[in-house]
Parts: sequence; C-alpha cells; structure tokens
Amino acid sequence: MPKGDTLGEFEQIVLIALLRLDNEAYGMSVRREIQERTGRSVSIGAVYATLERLEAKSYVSSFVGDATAERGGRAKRFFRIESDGKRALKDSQDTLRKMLAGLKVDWRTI
Amino acid sequence: MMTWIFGLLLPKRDKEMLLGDLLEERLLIESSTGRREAARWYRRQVLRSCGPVMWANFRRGGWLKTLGAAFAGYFAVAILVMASDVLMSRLLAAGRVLYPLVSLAAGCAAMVFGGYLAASMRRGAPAVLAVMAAILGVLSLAATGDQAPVWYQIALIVMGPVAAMVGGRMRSRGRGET
Repeated sequence: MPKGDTLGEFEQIVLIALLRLDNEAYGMSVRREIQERTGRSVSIGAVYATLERLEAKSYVSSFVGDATAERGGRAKRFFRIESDGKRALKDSQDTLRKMLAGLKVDWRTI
Repeated sequence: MMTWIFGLLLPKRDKEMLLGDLLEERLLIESSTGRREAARWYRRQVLRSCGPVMWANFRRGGWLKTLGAAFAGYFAVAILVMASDVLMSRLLAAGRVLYPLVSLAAGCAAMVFGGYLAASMRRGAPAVLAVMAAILGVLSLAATGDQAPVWYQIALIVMGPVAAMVGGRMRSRGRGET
C-alpha cells in the first residue's frame, strides 16, 4: 500500500460491510448494514462518497444491475471489494492490532 | 422540490442509483412505521447527504481549480448584477415593488449564467458557487439590514444557489451529461 493511502475509519467500515454483504452490496444495503451493526445513523450520500473514493483507489469495483419497479424503475449499482481493497483493510487492521498488542486497558471501565 | 435540488448536486453516474436507493428504503420504512415517519427519514437523509455529495463533487473536480472556477463565475455574476443595477436605476424608480422584482429576476439570470460559466471550467464549480451565493446572501442580509425588503433578500438567498445549480446543469446537458 503506497504511503498516504491509509484507510480512514469509515472507509474500513464500508469495506467490511462489502465483505459481509458479498453479492448484495449496493448503496442502501451497505447503509443499512452499517447502521444495524454500529448503531450509527449514516447518510446515503456519505456511503456513496466513500465508495466513489475507494473505487478511485481501485479498492472497490462496481457494476450496474437491473432496474426494479420498487425503485421507480431505477437500477442498482453493486459494489465489490477488490484484492487491493482487502490488502489495504488487512494492513489497517494489522496496524491497529500492533498498536494494541500488550496494552493493558480495562475497556469495561471506559 | 427537495429531490429535484438534491438531484442537481448528484453526479451523472450515481444519480439514478442513489435516488433509487433512497426511494427503496423510504418504501420499506413506510411499510413498517408509516408514511409520516418515512417522509421524515427521507428529508433527513437528503439534507445529511448534501454535505458529503458536495464535498465529493469538489474533490472530483480538483479543489483549487474548482474554487477558481467558482470565483470566476461569481465575478461574472457581480459584473452582470452591477450592470443591470445601473440600467435599472435609469429605467425604474427605486423603492417601487417592480424594482426589487426586476432586480431579483436579473440577479437569478446572472447567477444562471455564472453557474453555466463555472461549470464550463470545472464540473463541481456550480455547487461551490451556490454555497458562496448562500453565504454571501446571509452576510448581506445581516449587513444591509432594512436597505432592501426582507422578502427580496430571503428570495435571493434561496433562489441564487438554485439558479447557480440550474446554470451548471444546463452546461452539463449541453455536454451530453445528465
């Protein structure tokens, strides 16, 4: 991963949501997955802006699905995490793990 | 109206998909908690999405060039507004109802042109111009006080940014974008 290409917290959350949703990852499902798992209220605009940024870095790819009636005839854009994205996510998680290794904090008191 | 303005901010590529996502989830919420709650959720989503979407537009365009294009658009608007003020002061009596109405129309037309011009230089510039117009409109309202009718100043704050986005959209359509 090039220097300066570290993932922000929300970018990591979005990438993990893509991994969880697998073939069903599109804007709305990603937003709901994040909200249900983290309890955070997330805007669809923030999700799309993050996905666009990740796609520009080649961490994510997308394709357009079919239009459906319940969406007013509008299509879905499905997103998929790419191997560069998985690597970046692993690096970010490794960094956190290294920083936390051996740290004695009683998380229950926080 | 809200969806239309929001749609103006969205990039061509994601516009239909994002609006479809919003509609799909709104219908889901409506079926579980009712129409009123769904409408409230929808409004909140649109309002909260404006910031990230505008920021993404800004980043996509290259922020310094986008800012420069927005300033160029604003400069053009300022010249057009000054020219129209000079013309109107000769043709119309200040203080009459007609004067602010014509001035408002001229201001909006100038802002449409400014948005068009900004968009011809950078894609995300009309959104920045719209924000600039809103901020300067509020500052002007605070500074000038009762020099102009309040309805006129509020109308400028609301219609100015919309006019800038309309100008930008006209330019996009001219280029075959949506």
